[in-house]
Amino acid sequence: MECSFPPPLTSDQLSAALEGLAEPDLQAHLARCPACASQLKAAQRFEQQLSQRLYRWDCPSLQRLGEYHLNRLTPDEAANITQHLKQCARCDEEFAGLRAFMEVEQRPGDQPVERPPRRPDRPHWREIVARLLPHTPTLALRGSAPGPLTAEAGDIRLLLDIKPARGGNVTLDGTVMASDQDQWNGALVHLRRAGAVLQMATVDDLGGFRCEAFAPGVTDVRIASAEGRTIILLDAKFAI
Amino acid sequence: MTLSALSLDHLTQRCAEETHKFHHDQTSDPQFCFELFRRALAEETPDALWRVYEIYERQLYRWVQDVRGFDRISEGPDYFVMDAFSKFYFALRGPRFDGFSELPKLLAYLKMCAHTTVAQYLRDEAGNLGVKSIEDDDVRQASFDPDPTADLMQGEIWACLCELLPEARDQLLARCRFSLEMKPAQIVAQYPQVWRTEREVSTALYRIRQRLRSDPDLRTLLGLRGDAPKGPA
Repeated sequence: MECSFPPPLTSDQLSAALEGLAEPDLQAHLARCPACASQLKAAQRFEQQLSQRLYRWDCPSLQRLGEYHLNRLTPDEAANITQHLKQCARCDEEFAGLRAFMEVEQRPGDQPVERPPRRPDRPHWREIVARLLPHTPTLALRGSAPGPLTAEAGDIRLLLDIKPARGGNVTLDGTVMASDQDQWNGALVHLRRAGAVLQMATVDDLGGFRCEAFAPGVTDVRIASAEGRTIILLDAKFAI
Repeated sequence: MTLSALSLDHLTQRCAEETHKFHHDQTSDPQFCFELFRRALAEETPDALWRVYEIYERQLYRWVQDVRGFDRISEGPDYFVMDAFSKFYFALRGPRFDGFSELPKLLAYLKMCAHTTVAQYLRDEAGNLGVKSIEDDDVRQASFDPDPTADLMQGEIWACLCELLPEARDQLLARCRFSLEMKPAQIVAQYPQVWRTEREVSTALYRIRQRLRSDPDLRTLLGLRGDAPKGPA
């Protein structure tokens, strides 16, 4: 495709447009010329890909900066962070924010706030949502349980077996099955109801976990791995 | 009776009472809460962990909502409270608890986790660039990648960029612009001894962009198909 209104954009003009500094005549050219507009779009896409892939790529995580602030790093690790902070305006700014936040001492008399009296309407977008699968029909035997609930979240499968416990309560025996099973070893399980945490458990090295004796009802299950992945299953009906 | 002999129920009750005293400006004894934390983290007892959460949940809500920038997040605090507590647990469970000998240090770490979960979210959101305006959660989730292999890819892209820009000054500029998203004015303010004016920064950026855009290897690493742009650019 050729420029409709030659001469076509120069490299300088294209870069100015990328920086959002295009003069009015350049903006007018871009508005009328499909060839130059397409060239700018391709350059924007390149710029966006590069910036997205490289954004803060060698910056320490905020957790790392926090451990540095609390003197929880080895001398070598701390020296690396000190050096990085000298060179990185963004981290330096974040570290200043962290330090200011930590320096506000929790004074006696400071009151914690109430948990908002609500439950989440939907999961946070960073949580991997598991969906319950329909029960597969099995041979009906007198007194036989319908089998565990099964939920899927991508390549992760959850088996949730509800069993009766004392006093009308139930016990949950759960299993996490994933292609990256090791990642879920030691994961933290929260059972939540109406926003409040009912119980916690940890996933063992075979993917199993157990939540003992809680009242039956509609429950959310949240499983967080040490690597930062979280699965959430909403509104599971745990009853016998 | 020694602390380790106390039942979990009794310990929880004493910790809750002492925490209440602390918040009401009365002298409080931290040993019960410390023992509860020890059972939750060092012994990794889920029931004790849940009791710790129950006692400190409201404090976590307060901390999360006090982080500067939290008001810019269009979502409630629930996710951040749970995430902060999970981070705290994973960082201090098992033998890692040994480095903590008193309650104030544990609470400082918990407070730090409340801050970092929000601040990391804000950092990641800023890095989503074109993705941040997308409403579709699946697309946003795809851009949030806790996969550690993503770091290897970033290292490869950066190594390719350094080959194309061998001069230290160009690498510094590329880092400021593409990794730290700094504007020309910010770059001049940060490195006045390297670039004196915004115009100087812009001119150097024109040259750098041209070199990067025309490299097929870098384009492949970025997942961009097709030939490098032709013509004057």
